Parts: sequence; C-alpha cells; structure tokens
Amino acid sequence: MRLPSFICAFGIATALGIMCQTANATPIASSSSPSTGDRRNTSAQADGADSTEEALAHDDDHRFVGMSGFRGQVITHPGMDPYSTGDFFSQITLGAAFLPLKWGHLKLGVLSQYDMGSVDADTRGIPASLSIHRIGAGPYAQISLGDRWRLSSRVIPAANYLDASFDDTSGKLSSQGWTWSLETSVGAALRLGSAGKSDDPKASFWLTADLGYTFAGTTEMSFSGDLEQDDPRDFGTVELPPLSPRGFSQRLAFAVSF
Amino acid sequence: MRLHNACFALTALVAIGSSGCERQPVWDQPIAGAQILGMDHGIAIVDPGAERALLLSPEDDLSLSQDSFAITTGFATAKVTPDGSRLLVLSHGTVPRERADDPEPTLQTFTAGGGARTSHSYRLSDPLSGLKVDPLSRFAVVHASGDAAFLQNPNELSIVDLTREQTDDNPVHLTLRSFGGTPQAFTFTEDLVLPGGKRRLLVVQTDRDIALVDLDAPDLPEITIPLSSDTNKMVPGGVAVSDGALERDDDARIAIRLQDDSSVIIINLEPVLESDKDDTPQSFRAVPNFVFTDGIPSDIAFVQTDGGLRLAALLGTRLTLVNPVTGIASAVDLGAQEFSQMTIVTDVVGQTSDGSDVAMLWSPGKSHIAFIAFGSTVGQPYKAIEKLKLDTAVSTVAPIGGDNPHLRILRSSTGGAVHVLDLLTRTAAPLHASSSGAGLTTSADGGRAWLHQGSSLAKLDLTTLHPQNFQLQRPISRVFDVTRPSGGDALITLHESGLIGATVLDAQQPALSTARHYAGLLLGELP
Repeated sequence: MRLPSFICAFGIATALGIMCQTANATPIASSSSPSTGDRRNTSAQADGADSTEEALAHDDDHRFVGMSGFRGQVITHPGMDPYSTGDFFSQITLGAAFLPLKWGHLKLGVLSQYDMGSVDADTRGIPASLSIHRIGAGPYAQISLGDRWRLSSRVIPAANYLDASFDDTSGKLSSQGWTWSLETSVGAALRLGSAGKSDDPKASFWLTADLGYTFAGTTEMSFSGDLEQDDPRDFGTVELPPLSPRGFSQRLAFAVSF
Repeated sequence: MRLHNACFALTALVAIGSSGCERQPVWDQPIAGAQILGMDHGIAIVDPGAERALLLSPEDDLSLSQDSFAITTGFATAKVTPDGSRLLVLSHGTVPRERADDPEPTLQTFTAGGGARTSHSYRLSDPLSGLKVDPLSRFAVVHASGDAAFLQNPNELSIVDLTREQTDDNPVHLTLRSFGGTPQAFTFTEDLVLPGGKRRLLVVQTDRDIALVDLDAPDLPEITIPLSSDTNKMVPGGVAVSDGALERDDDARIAIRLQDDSSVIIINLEPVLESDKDDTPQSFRAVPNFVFTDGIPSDIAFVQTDGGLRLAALLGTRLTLVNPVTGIASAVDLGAQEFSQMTIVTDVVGQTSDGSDVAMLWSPGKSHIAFIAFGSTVGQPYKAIEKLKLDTAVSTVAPIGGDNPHLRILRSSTGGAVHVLDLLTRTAAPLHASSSGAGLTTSADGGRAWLHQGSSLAKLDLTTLHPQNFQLQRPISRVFDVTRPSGGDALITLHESGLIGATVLDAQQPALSTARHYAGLLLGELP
C-alpha cells in the first residue's frame, strides 16, 4: 500500500471513530441542553425520558427520507491521473429512502441515490475533464439514538457512467463508458429541527455524514473524435489507462424525513 | 463541539485525499520537442516529455497500431536508418550521473509493425549529441555536436554496428588522431576492393585533414591525411569515391574537394610497401595527389569515359575532366549557363555506346538542366551535351525510386510549379500548384507523389501524371507514404498541433470516405 493511500485510510478510520464516539456518547436528554432561561427546555428536562421517548416514537414513524449534499471520494486508481492533479473527486449527491420495516429503534428499507461530479486538469498542456454519473439503489438501515442522533448504513450497487474529454487543438477527443460500483458506508445523522407539532412532527431535518468504501469495476478509456451527428468521419481510438472509480468515500448531506 | 469534531475530521479527510496522492509526472509533461520520422512501415514520434518513442503502423482497416517504447532520459536526437527499418534514439542519460543506477548515455534502436517489436540498447562512453547513419543502414556514428560539457573531446567517436547486439567490441569508442581539426562531415563508402580484401571506410572530414576509419576493423588505428600546412589551410568541401576496376584491388580512390581552393586531392588507396609492412597494422596505405582544376569546383564525381576513369569537377560554365593517374586535365565548355550540381544518372539512362557515363547538371535558382554524355568525339572531350530550358527556376531535385527511377521531381524556387523530369525522354512535364511552398513526398515504390499545403492534399500518379485532389478538415503538416505490414500502402497525413492528429488514407485508392482520423496521438499508450 502506498503511503498516501495509507494516510487516506487512516484519516477515514480516525474520522469514523470520532463520529461513532460522538454518537454513542450523546445522552438523549443532554441533546436539549438548557439555554439561558428557556422555559420550554427547562420543561423538557423536567419531563425527562418520557417526553423524549414520545417525540422519538413519532419521529420514528417517518418512513420517507430525502437527502441532498456533497459526496467526496478518494480515487487513487492510476487511470484517474489524466483527468485530475489529485485523487479527490467531489460530487453532488441526491437520495431518497423508503423505510417500511421497523423493529424497535431499527428501521430498514431501500435507498436510491444519484451522484454526479466532474474534475478537470491541464494534461500535457491540454484541458482534460472527467464526469462520473452514478445511479443506484440498495438496502438502507437506520437506528435511532435518542431524539437527535441516528446511525445509518447503506450498501448501494450502482451503475456508473464515465464521460471524459480532451479539448485538443488537433481535435476534441471524448470517451464514454459504463462500469459497476458497490458503495458500502456507515454514517450518523444529527436532527437539526422539526416542522409541525413537537410531539408529532410532520417532517424532521437532519445533517448526515457518512464514511465508507466504494468498490468499482474497471472501464476502458478509448478516446476518439468528438463529432457532430452529421459528421461522416471515421475516427480511430487512442487508448488511455483504464479507470476504476473505487476508493474511500464520504458524504455530507442535508436530509428531511417525513 | 461534537459536530465540530465531525466537521474537522471530514475536512482533514478531504485535505488528505486532495493532496496526498499525486498523479504520475508524465501527465504534466509538455509535448514540446517531439520529433517525427517516417519509417518503412509507419511513423515514429519521439516524445521526450514522456521519455518514450511511439511507433504507429497502419493496419488493413487504416487504423493505427500503436507501440510505445521507453527511451533513456536526456533525449538528444533521433534518426531512422535509410532502409526505414529501425528508429535510432540517442540519449545523454542523467547528466551528471551521481548514482550508480542513473541512466547512462545510450543509443537505442526500435522496430515495430505487424505485431513484432524489438529494441536494442548500446551503452556509450559519453553524452554526445551528433548521430550519423550509414546509407546502407549497418553502422551509426555518434560524435560530438555542440555539446556543452565542461570538457569535451570533439575527435571522440563511437561506431555502432547496428546488425550486432552490444558486446565488448560493439560499439567501438575511438579518438581520431588530430592535427588540430575537429570532425565536420562523415562519408560512408560502399564496399571497396582494397589490398587485404573488401572493406568499407568511414571518411571523416575535419576542418584541416581527412581521416579514414576501417569500418570492418574500427579498432585499428585510423589513417589521417593532413591537408593544411602552417601557412595554407585547406578545408574539405566534399568527397567522391571510386572503387576502380572490379578485378583490381589497388585502384580505389577518394577525391576531396576543397573549400575556396582550386585543388582537388585524390587519395589513392594502394598496397602497403613491403618495407612498411612490419610498422603498420593496415593492409593499405593512402597516397594523396593534388590536382588543379583551374577554378573552385562546386561538385565533383568520378565518371567513366571511353578514355578510362576521370574525375569530373564542375566549375560553373565549365567541367574539368582530370585523369586521376596522370593528373592531366581537359575542359568541357558548358555554354553560357552556370551549373553547380552534378548527378551521375548512368544507372537510369544507360551507358553511351562506348561505355561512358551520363551526368545531369543543374543549379538551384536556375531554369536550365543539362545532360552530358562523357566520351569523346573529334576535337572535344565529350559525346554530347543536351540542354533543357524550364519556364521557372529549380530549387530542388527529388529522386524517385521503385518502378520509376528515370523520373525526377523538380521543385520551383518561386511559385507553385512542379516539373516531372523524365531522364529517358529528356522532357519535363509542368504541373501547377495553386500556391507556393507545398510539401512534397514520394512513395517508396515510385508510383506516386503527394503534395500538400494547408488542408489541401493532392496525389500525383507518376505514370499517368494524373493529379487527384482532396480537402481535409485539418491543416496538414507532413505526409508519409508507408507500406502496411500486412501489405498495401497507406498515407499518413499528420496534423501537428496540440497532441498531434493524423488522417490515414489508402495510398493506392485514396478516398476521404474510407479515411481513418485520429486526434491526441500523444495521449495514447501512456502508463
């Protein structure tokens, strides 16, 4: 393992540890820390576990989750080199989960997600770019830790569409290809607030953070001329190193459950 | 605080991911300095930035097969052997070499095409930049050429036998015995029948002497012939070689034309005297004779006349024929027109009835061409002089090989005119290009020529002189008519902008509808 990869792995493990420690140490009542003379908070403290359990029960009734945010991935595969000066690949992420199954604080369901990102670089003096679109769906689990925290995990098989190009003066080159991926991650969510009645919120708003690893297949990167539809020219291919978009990933998103 | 911890961890992770894993340096290397050379089965692009040579060969479907070879650090120059089979790449290695595993100066050879690829490497003693290749593709000479080393020996040569792998005696490193001169030009002779057997010589012209190196035994000391005295500096200007009669081994000669001097030095390669045999390892000796040509010759050649071998020296409006044995000269008046270049064309047009040679005379910037049949008629030392007047001045004369060796393509020095000269019929068919400065390439089989300028490309059938015009979508910088490894011919037109593109056409039946286009060739086959 190269040193940078080791550092990346170590960083992810450390971050994961911090997150888990933070979530596990959070007492349910203390998440509503008393503020300066706030009567409602004081009342909530006085009510103790009963009122928290009630809010938690209503919150747990939410079966749908929508999320959007930012996804980062460290792609150390050498096939990434022509399109990026570093290994970090950022994406926007959109997701929707349906959680019909519930056992106590554990909820199970399915999550579909779409990630899209692009990167560009100056390669041998020529502008180069790579876009990756990832769409997939898979099992998704949540477990509630008090009224503010949740832990989650997902295993998302996905189809990846890779679109790369070089804007060369000898002609624009492009390459498109598909490959598979399997994202495995665990995460934590912090409830930022809720809408509706406090004992029966219509929706809750969350800040979520996930860490994991994405396995992926390798796709050939065969470039040929990027032609207009009516251009009759027959372009030969130029082979660049094959690319596998695998690597450690993290996601930071806002979510709403209802 | 916990949220802060999480954000801090994520930020740290992003920072590590962004900066910890750098891409391979080759992707940051510029493409400046790429050298493109034509080979028999394709083209070679030496890409110094990526430290590689990319060999491209056209396949049956006009696609380009791509083979990438790593070259040694410190690229100096590259050449292709005249037979087109090998790419030679000369590299300095790492300078200065501070570690034992730093790359050494090397000459590398590469071949590719038809699924086969080979490479050889020859270790050199010094990082030199000059490379000369034998016209018969057997030897290469590496020499100093403007190198900027702190201390340099300009008379040091490395002679590489390209038909053998590296051994203790290949390459041979030698230092020419110098009387103060430094090498200026190299001439590889064909096989000469010399005392001691057939051998090939390397004639090294310095700015004041001549050195003869036996290429079949390069470890023997070379023969150096000083030309200059303290008061009279004679600088060599050109070389002509004659093997003499096939059945004799004592009549080979080398003639040396001098710059700014009306003398020509004829070096007779004779047997070593009995008295000297114990003192020299050579089986022949060089005996120089000075002959006077009554003017400074612009070109020289050995020619066969009905009176025997003569040295022909071209002197503008005159041609002097010198008997190399007696030194007696006779002059031929060429008329009012001046000529500076002479090419023996006997192998194309045939000898005269008495077995004499025929030469073509021309001059850059002049519109006259002359053919002189050597021999003698009553009162004059030549058989005939035939002149051809063109409507435009000639700048270059391009020979045609293959099936049409009797043709020459004459490029005009002004305008876009091209003439196809037939040496047999002594006619020059004019062709007009719409603009001047078009590039010209001929096929190895002699069947066609290609002219290009801008995005315009034209094929000229050299048998029918029928032109066929094409308009490509990208500007053409160079074209190469090559043989496909699987058979047939292809034309590779290069578009040398950016990462280099190409358009590949069938050379015999060219059509844009079947052409294969490429862009970004220098991105291919990188690690």
